[in-house]
Amino acid sequence: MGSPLKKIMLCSSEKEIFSVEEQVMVQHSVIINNMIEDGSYNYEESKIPLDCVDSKTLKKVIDYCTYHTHHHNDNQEDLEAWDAQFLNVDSNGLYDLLMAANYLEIRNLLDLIYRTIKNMIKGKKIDEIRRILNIKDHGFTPEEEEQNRKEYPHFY
Amino acid sequence: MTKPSVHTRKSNGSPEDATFEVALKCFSNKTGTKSTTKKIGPDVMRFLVGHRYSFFEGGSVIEVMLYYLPNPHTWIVSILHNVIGEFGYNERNFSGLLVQKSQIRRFCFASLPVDIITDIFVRLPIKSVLICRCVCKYWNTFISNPNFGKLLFTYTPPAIMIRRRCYSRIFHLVEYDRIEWHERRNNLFCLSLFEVLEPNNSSNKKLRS
Repeated sequence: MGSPLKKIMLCSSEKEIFSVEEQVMVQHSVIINNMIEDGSYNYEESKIPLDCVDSKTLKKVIDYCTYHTHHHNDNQEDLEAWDAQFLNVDSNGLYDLLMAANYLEIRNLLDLIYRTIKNMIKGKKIDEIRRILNIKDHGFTPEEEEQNRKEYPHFY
Repeated sequence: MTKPSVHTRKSNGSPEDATFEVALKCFSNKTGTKSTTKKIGPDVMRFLVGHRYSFFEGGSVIEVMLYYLPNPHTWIVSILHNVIGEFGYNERNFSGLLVQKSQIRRFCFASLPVDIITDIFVRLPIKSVLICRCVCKYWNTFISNPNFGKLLFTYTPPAIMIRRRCYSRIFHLVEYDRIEWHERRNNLFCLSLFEVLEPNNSSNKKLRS
Protein backbone atom coordinates (compact mmCIF):
# COMPACT_ATOMS: atom_id res chain seq x y z
CA MET A 1 0.00 0.00 0.00
CA GLY A 2 1.36 3.37 -0.98
CA SER A 3 0.91 6.60 0.87
CA PRO A 4 -2.57 8.10 0.53
CA LEU A 5 -1.30 11.31 -1.01
CA LYS A 6 0.27 9.73 -4.04
CA LYS A 7 -1.60 10.06 -7.27
CA ILE A 8 -1.74 7.67 -10.16
CA MET A 9 -2.75 8.34 -13.74
CA LEU A 10 -5.37 6.31 -15.55
CA CYS A 11 -5.78 6.68 -19.27
CA SER A 12 -9.17 5.92 -20.84
CA SER A 13 -9.77 4.56 -24.33
CA GLU A 14 -10.23 8.14 -25.56
CA LYS A 15 -6.75 8.89 -24.18
CA GLU A 16 -8.22 11.14 -21.54
CA ILE A 17 -6.13 11.11 -18.38
CA PHE A 18 -7.62 10.80 -14.92
CA SER A 19 -5.58 11.48 -11.85
CA VAL A 20 -6.70 9.47 -8.83
CA GLU A 21 -5.45 8.98 -5.32
CA GLU A 22 -3.43 5.82 -5.34
CA GLN A 23 -5.04 4.60 -2.14
CA VAL A 24 -8.48 4.72 -3.73
CA MET A 25 -7.67 2.50 -6.67
CA VAL A 26 -5.28 0.18 -4.84
CA GLN A 27 -7.90 -0.59 -2.27
CA HIS A 28 -10.54 -1.55 -4.82
CA SER A 29 -8.87 -2.76 -7.97
CA VAL A 30 -6.92 -5.99 -7.77
CA ILE A 31 -5.19 -5.26 -11.08
CA ILE A 32 -3.94 -1.84 -10.04
CA ASN A 33 -2.96 -3.13 -6.63
CA ASN A 34 -0.80 -5.78 -8.29
CA MET A 35 0.66 -3.25 -10.65
CA ILE A 36 1.70 -0.94 -7.83
CA GLU A 37 2.95 -3.77 -5.67
CA ASP A 38 5.20 -5.33 -8.23
CA GLY A 39 6.70 -1.93 -8.90
CA SER A 40 5.86 -1.73 -12.58
CA TYR A 41 4.24 1.65 -12.09
CA ASN A 42 6.48 4.67 -12.31
CA TYR A 43 5.00 7.64 -10.47
CA GLU A 44 6.88 10.17 -12.56
CA GLU A 45 5.85 9.11 -16.01
CA SER A 46 3.60 6.03 -16.07
CA LYS A 47 0.01 6.15 -17.14
CA ILE A 48 -2.10 3.05 -16.75
CA PRO A 49 -3.73 2.50 -20.12
CA LEU A 50 -7.27 1.18 -19.91
CA ASP A 51 -8.04 0.67 -23.56
CA CYS A 52 -11.34 -1.05 -23.06
CA VAL A 53 -12.81 1.53 -20.68
CA ASP A 54 -14.20 4.76 -22.07
CA SER A 55 -13.96 8.08 -20.24
CA LYS A 56 -17.56 8.18 -19.11
CA THR A 57 -17.35 4.73 -17.56
CA LEU A 58 -13.93 5.30 -16.06
CA LYS A 59 -15.18 8.45 -14.39
CA LYS A 60 -18.03 6.50 -12.84
CA VAL A 61 -15.73 3.75 -11.68
CA ILE A 62 -13.44 6.29 -10.07
CA ASP A 63 -16.45 7.96 -8.44
CA TYR A 64 -17.47 4.63 -7.03
CA CYS A 65 -14.03 3.79 -5.65
CA THR A 66 -13.56 7.27 -4.21
CA TYR A 67 -16.92 7.30 -2.51
CA HIS A 68 -16.48 3.85 -1.04
CA THR A 69 -13.00 4.65 0.20
CA HIS A 70 -14.08 7.80 1.98
CA HIS A 71 -17.48 6.65 3.17
CA HIS A 72 -16.87 3.07 4.17
CA ASN A 73 -17.79 3.93 7.75
CA ASP A 74 -21.20 5.29 6.79
CA ASN A 75 -24.18 3.23 7.77
CA GLN A 76 -25.26 0.48 5.43
CA GLU A 77 -28.49 2.14 4.35
CA ASP A 78 -26.79 5.29 3.15
CA LEU A 79 -24.26 3.28 1.18
CA GLU A 80 -26.98 1.18 -0.40
CA ALA A 81 -28.95 4.27 -1.34
CA TRP A 82 -25.84 5.75 -2.91
CA ASP A 83 -25.15 2.51 -4.79
CA ALA A 84 -28.70 2.40 -6.11
CA GLN A 85 -28.38 5.98 -7.31
CA PHE A 86 -24.98 5.15 -8.79
CA LEU A 87 -26.32 2.26 -10.83
CA ASN A 88 -29.30 4.19 -12.11
CA VAL A 89 -28.04 3.92 -15.70
CA ASP A 90 -29.37 2.41 -18.89
CA SER A 91 -28.47 -1.12 -19.89
CA ASN A 92 -25.59 -0.02 -22.11
CA GLY A 93 -24.11 2.00 -19.28
CA LEU A 94 -24.51 -0.96 -16.97
CA TYR A 95 -22.81 -3.20 -19.49
CA ASP A 96 -19.87 -0.81 -19.82
CA LEU A 97 -19.55 -0.61 -16.05
CA LEU A 98 -19.68 -4.36 -15.77
CA MET A 99 -16.91 -4.80 -18.31
CA ALA A 100 -14.81 -2.10 -16.66
CA ALA A 101 -15.27 -3.57 -13.19
CA ASN A 102 -14.39 -6.97 -14.56
CA TYR A 103 -11.30 -5.65 -16.30
CA LEU A 104 -10.07 -3.77 -13.25
CA GLU A 105 -11.23 -6.55 -10.93
CA ILE A 106 -13.16 -4.33 -8.57
CA ARG A 107 -14.81 -6.99 -6.49
CA ASN A 108 -17.47 -4.98 -4.63
CA LEU A 109 -18.53 -3.13 -7.75
CA LEU A 110 -18.84 -6.43 -9.60
CA ASP A 111 -20.94 -7.88 -6.81
CA LEU A 112 -23.11 -4.81 -6.83
CA ILE A 113 -23.66 -5.05 -10.57
CA TYR A 114 -24.33 -8.78 -10.39
CA ARG A 115 -26.95 -8.18 -7.73
CA THR A 116 -28.52 -5.48 -9.85
CA ILE A 117 -28.63 -7.67 -12.94
CA LYS A 118 -29.99 -10.54 -10.91
CA ASN A 119 -32.83 -8.34 -9.71
CA MET A 120 -33.43 -7.17 -13.26
CA ILE A 121 -33.80 -10.74 -14.50
CA LYS A 122 -35.46 -12.45 -11.58
CA GLY A 123 -39.14 -13.11 -11.91
CA LYS A 124 -39.26 -11.57 -15.37
CA LYS A 125 -40.60 -13.06 -18.55
CA ILE A 126 -38.46 -13.48 -21.64
CA ASP A 127 -39.77 -10.45 -23.50
CA GLU A 128 -39.25 -8.28 -20.44
CA ILE A 129 -35.67 -9.49 -19.98
CA ARG A 130 -34.91 -8.77 -23.61
CA ARG A 131 -36.34 -5.30 -23.28
CA ILE A 132 -34.60 -4.52 -19.99
CA LEU A 133 -31.19 -5.76 -21.07
CA ASN A 134 -31.65 -4.32 -24.54
CA ILE A 135 -31.14 -7.64 -26.29
CA LYS A 136 -32.43 -6.91 -29.76
CA ASP A 137 -30.80 -9.75 -31.57
CA HIS A 138 -31.42 -13.01 -29.79
CA GLY A 139 -29.80 -15.20 -32.45
CA PHE A 140 -32.58 -17.76 -32.67
CA THR A 141 -33.88 -18.59 -36.09
CA PRO A 142 -37.56 -17.74 -36.60
CA GLU A 143 -38.35 -21.48 -36.46
CA GLU A 144 -36.54 -21.96 -33.16
CA GLU A 145 -38.21 -18.90 -31.73
CA GLU A 146 -41.60 -20.19 -32.86
CA GLN A 147 -40.83 -23.58 -31.32
CA ASN A 148 -39.82 -22.01 -28.00
CA ARG A 149 -42.92 -19.87 -27.90
CA LYS A 150 -45.06 -22.91 -28.53
CA GLU A 151 -43.26 -24.98 -25.93
CA TYR A 152 -43.05 -22.46 -23.13
CA PRO A 153 -45.87 -19.98 -23.74
CA HIS A 154 -45.91 -18.94 -20.08
CA PHE A 155 -42.29 -17.81 -20.28
CA TYR A 156 -43.10 -15.04 -22.73
CA MET B 1 0.58 -13.50 -44.81
CA THR B 2 -1.68 -13.52 -47.81
CA LYS B 3 -5.24 -12.36 -47.92
CA PRO B 4 -7.79 -15.14 -47.86
CA SER B 5 -9.40 -16.20 -51.06
CA VAL B 6 -12.73 -16.17 -49.30
CA HIS B 7 -13.75 -12.85 -50.74
CA THR B 8 -13.73 -13.87 -54.36
CA ARG B 9 -15.07 -17.37 -54.18
CA LYS B 10 -17.84 -17.15 -51.72
CA SER B 11 -21.37 -17.07 -52.97
CA ASN B 12 -23.60 -17.29 -49.93
CA GLY B 13 -23.26 -15.21 -46.77
CA SER B 14 -20.75 -12.49 -46.20
CA PRO B 15 -16.97 -12.92 -46.28
CA GLU B 16 -16.64 -12.29 -42.58
CA ASP B 17 -18.97 -15.15 -41.77
CA ALA B 18 -16.86 -17.58 -43.71
CA THR B 19 -13.79 -16.35 -41.96
CA PHE B 20 -15.13 -17.16 -38.56
CA GLU B 21 -16.50 -20.54 -39.41
CA VAL B 22 -13.43 -21.79 -41.20
CA ALA B 23 -11.11 -20.33 -38.62
CA LEU B 24 -13.03 -22.16 -35.94
CA LYS B 25 -12.45 -25.36 -37.84
CA CYS B 26 -8.73 -24.76 -37.60
CA PHE B 27 -9.09 -25.04 -33.86
CA SER B 28 -11.61 -27.82 -33.76
CA ASN B 29 -9.16 -30.55 -32.81
CA LYS B 30 -5.86 -30.86 -31.09
CA THR B 31 -3.80 -31.42 -34.24
CA GLY B 32 -5.49 -28.51 -35.91
CA THR B 33 -4.78 -26.32 -32.93
CA LYS B 34 -1.17 -27.37 -32.83
CA SER B 35 -0.51 -26.75 -36.47
CA THR B 36 -2.36 -23.47 -36.30
CA THR B 37 -0.19 -22.47 -33.41
CA LYS B 38 2.88 -23.45 -35.40
CA LYS B 39 1.77 -21.44 -38.39
CA ILE B 40 0.83 -18.23 -36.70
CA GLY B 41 3.47 -18.52 -34.00
CA PRO B 42 2.99 -19.06 -30.29
CA ASP B 43 3.17 -15.38 -29.48
CA VAL B 44 0.34 -14.40 -31.75
CA MET B 45 -1.57 -17.40 -30.53
CA ARG B 46 -1.08 -16.44 -26.94
CA PHE B 47 -2.20 -12.96 -27.76
CA LEU B 48 -5.16 -14.27 -29.67
CA VAL B 49 -6.52 -16.66 -27.11
CA GLY B 50 -5.23 -15.14 -23.93
CA HIS B 51 -5.66 -11.45 -24.44
CA ARG B 52 -6.83 -10.98 -20.90
CA TYR B 53 -7.11 -14.50 -19.62
CA SER B 54 -4.68 -17.32 -19.28
CA PHE B 55 -3.51 -19.28 -22.24
CA PHE B 56 -5.07 -22.68 -22.48
CA GLU B 57 -2.08 -24.81 -23.32
CA GLY B 58 -3.01 -27.48 -25.85
CA GLY B 59 -6.33 -28.39 -24.33
CA SER B 60 -9.27 -26.22 -24.93
CA VAL B 61 -8.34 -23.54 -27.34
CA ILE B 62 -11.64 -24.10 -29.03
CA GLU B 63 -13.40 -22.99 -25.88
CA VAL B 64 -11.45 -19.81 -25.81
CA MET B 65 -12.26 -19.20 -29.43
CA LEU B 66 -15.93 -19.67 -28.69
CA TYR B 67 -15.53 -17.39 -25.76
CA TYR B 68 -14.45 -14.64 -28.05
CA LEU B 69 -16.70 -15.46 -30.95
CA PRO B 70 -19.82 -13.71 -29.78
CA ASN B 71 -17.85 -10.63 -29.00
CA PRO B 72 -15.10 -10.36 -31.56
CA HIS B 73 -12.75 -7.48 -31.58
CA THR B 74 -11.43 -6.19 -34.83
CA TRP B 75 -7.97 -7.48 -34.11
CA ILE B 76 -9.28 -10.98 -33.71
CA VAL B 77 -11.02 -10.65 -37.03
CA SER B 78 -7.82 -9.53 -38.69
CA ILE B 79 -5.80 -12.35 -37.14
CA LEU B 80 -8.42 -14.85 -38.17
CA HIS B 81 -8.23 -13.44 -41.68
CA ASN B 82 -4.57 -14.23 -41.65
CA VAL B 83 -5.18 -17.69 -40.26
CA ILE B 84 -7.51 -18.37 -43.15
CA GLY B 85 -4.95 -16.97 -45.51
CA GLU B 86 -2.43 -19.50 -44.27
CA PHE B 87 -4.77 -22.44 -44.37
CA GLY B 88 -6.63 -21.66 -47.51
CA TYR B 89 -10.35 -21.78 -47.81
CA ASN B 90 -12.39 -24.89 -48.34
CA GLU B 91 -15.85 -24.44 -49.78
CA ARG B 92 -16.98 -27.85 -48.57
CA ASN B 93 -16.06 -27.19 -44.97
CA PHE B 94 -17.88 -24.01 -45.13
CA SER B 95 -21.20 -24.90 -46.72
CA GLY B 96 -22.39 -27.04 -43.80
CA LEU B 97 -22.28 -24.48 -41.07
CA LEU B 98 -22.92 -20.87 -41.67
CA VAL B 99 -22.31 -18.41 -38.95
CA GLN B 100 -24.71 -15.67 -39.67
CA LYS B 101 -23.54 -12.17 -39.30
CA SER B 102 -26.41 -11.50 -36.91
CA GLN B 103 -24.88 -14.02 -34.55
CA ILE B 104 -21.74 -11.99 -34.22
CA ARG B 105 -23.06 -9.67 -31.62
CA ARG B 106 -21.11 -6.88 -30.14
CA PHE B 107 -21.25 -5.13 -26.83
CA CYS B 108 -24.48 -6.22 -25.32
CA PHE B 109 -25.70 -8.47 -22.57
CA ALA B 110 -26.25 -11.26 -25.05
CA SER B 111 -22.51 -11.57 -25.53
CA LEU B 112 -21.04 -11.42 -22.06
CA PRO B 113 -17.82 -13.30 -21.41
CA VAL B 114 -18.26 -16.72 -19.88
CA ASP B 115 -16.94 -15.89 -16.43
CA ILE B 116 -19.32 -12.98 -16.00
CA ILE B 117 -22.34 -14.78 -17.31
CA THR B 118 -21.60 -17.70 -14.97
CA ASP B 119 -21.44 -15.36 -12.03
CA ILE B 120 -24.80 -13.90 -12.94
CA PHE B 121 -26.63 -17.15 -13.61
CA VAL B 122 -25.48 -18.95 -10.47
CA ARG B 123 -27.18 -16.24 -8.47
CA LEU B 124 -30.52 -16.65 -10.17
CA PRO B 125 -33.28 -18.98 -9.04
CA ILE B 126 -33.61 -22.09 -11.19
CA LYS B 127 -36.81 -20.86 -12.77
CA SER B 128 -35.16 -17.69 -14.00
CA VAL B 129 -32.26 -19.67 -15.38
CA LEU B 130 -34.70 -21.80 -17.34
CA ILE B 131 -36.38 -18.66 -18.64
CA CYS B 132 -33.02 -17.18 -19.61
CA ARG B 133 -32.47 -20.19 -21.81
CA CYS B 134 -34.97 -18.78 -24.26
CA VAL B 135 -33.78 -15.18 -24.06
CA CYS B 136 -31.01 -15.56 -26.58
CA LYS B 137 -29.16 -18.29 -28.36
CA TYR B 138 -25.82 -17.65 -26.73
CA TRP B 139 -27.33 -17.98 -23.27
CA ASN B 140 -29.16 -21.08 -24.41
CA THR B 141 -25.93 -22.73 -25.55
CA PHE B 142 -24.26 -21.71 -22.36
CA ILE B 143 -26.97 -22.87 -19.97
CA SER B 144 -27.52 -26.12 -21.84
CA ASN B 145 -23.89 -27.04 -21.29
CA PRO B 146 -23.85 -29.89 -18.73
CA ASN B 147 -20.85 -28.36 -17.00
CA PHE B 148 -22.90 -25.31 -16.20
CA GLY B 149 -25.61 -27.55 -14.80
CA LYS B 150 -23.11 -29.16 -12.47
CA LEU B 151 -21.75 -25.83 -11.41
CA LEU B 152 -25.22 -24.50 -10.77
CA PHE B 153 -25.99 -27.39 -8.46
CA THR B 154 -22.91 -26.75 -6.38
CA TYR B 155 -24.17 -23.22 -5.78
CA THR B 156 -27.79 -24.10 -5.23
CA PRO B 157 -28.78 -24.86 -1.65
CA PRO B 158 -30.39 -28.26 -1.13
CA ALA B 159 -34.07 -28.14 -1.91
CA ILE B 160 -37.02 -30.39 -1.37
CA MET B 161 -38.96 -32.05 -4.13
CA ILE B 162 -42.40 -33.34 -3.42
CA ARG B 163 -45.00 -35.23 -5.37
CA ARG B 164 -48.62 -35.52 -4.47
CA ARG B 165 -48.94 -39.26 -4.93
CA CYS B 166 -46.23 -41.84 -4.88
CA TYR B 167 -46.81 -42.78 -8.51
CA SER B 168 -47.25 -39.23 -9.69
CA ARG B 169 -44.83 -38.14 -12.35
CA ILE B 170 -45.19 -34.51 -11.45
CA PHE B 171 -42.60 -33.23 -9.05
CA HIS B 172 -42.83 -29.92 -7.27
CA LEU B 173 -39.67 -28.21 -6.31
CA VAL B 174 -39.67 -26.18 -3.16
CA GLU B 175 -36.97 -23.76 -4.02
CA TYR B 176 -35.74 -21.29 -1.52
CA ASP B 177 -33.89 -18.24 -2.48
CA ARG B 178 -31.74 -17.63 0.55
CA ILE B 179 -33.28 -14.24 1.11
CA GLU B 180 -36.76 -14.54 -0.21
CA TRP B 181 -37.46 -18.15 0.55
CA HIS B 182 -40.62 -17.29 2.40
CA GLU B 183 -42.02 -15.62 -0.70
CA ARG B 184 -41.52 -18.56 -2.97
CA ARG B 185 -43.13 -21.52 -1.39
CA ASN B 186 -44.24 -23.50 -4.35
CA ASN B 187 -41.92 -23.13 -7.23
CA LEU B 188 -42.04 -26.09 -9.50
CA PHE B 189 -39.24 -27.67 -11.30
CA CYS B 190 -38.31 -30.91 -12.96
CA LEU B 191 -35.56 -33.31 -12.05
CA SER B 192 -33.63 -33.34 -15.28
CA LEU B 193 -32.80 -29.70 -15.47
CA PHE B 194 -32.01 -29.32 -19.12
CA GLU B 195 -34.45 -31.75 -20.59
CA VAL B 196 -37.52 -30.63 -22.44
CA LEU B 197 -40.10 -29.31 -20.05
CA GLU B 198 -43.77 -29.82 -20.62
CA PRO B 199 -45.84 -27.47 -18.57
CA ASN B 200 -49.31 -28.51 -17.44
CA ASN B 201 -50.25 -25.01 -16.56
CA SER B 202 -48.42 -21.79 -16.04
CA SER B 203 -46.17 -23.08 -13.31
CA ASN B 204 -46.23 -26.87 -13.34
CA LYS B 205 -43.61 -28.87 -15.16
CA LYS B 206 -43.78 -32.52 -15.89
CA LEU B 207 -40.92 -34.75 -14.91
CA ARG B 208 -39.21 -36.54 -17.71
CA SER B 209 -36.64 -39.05 -16.66
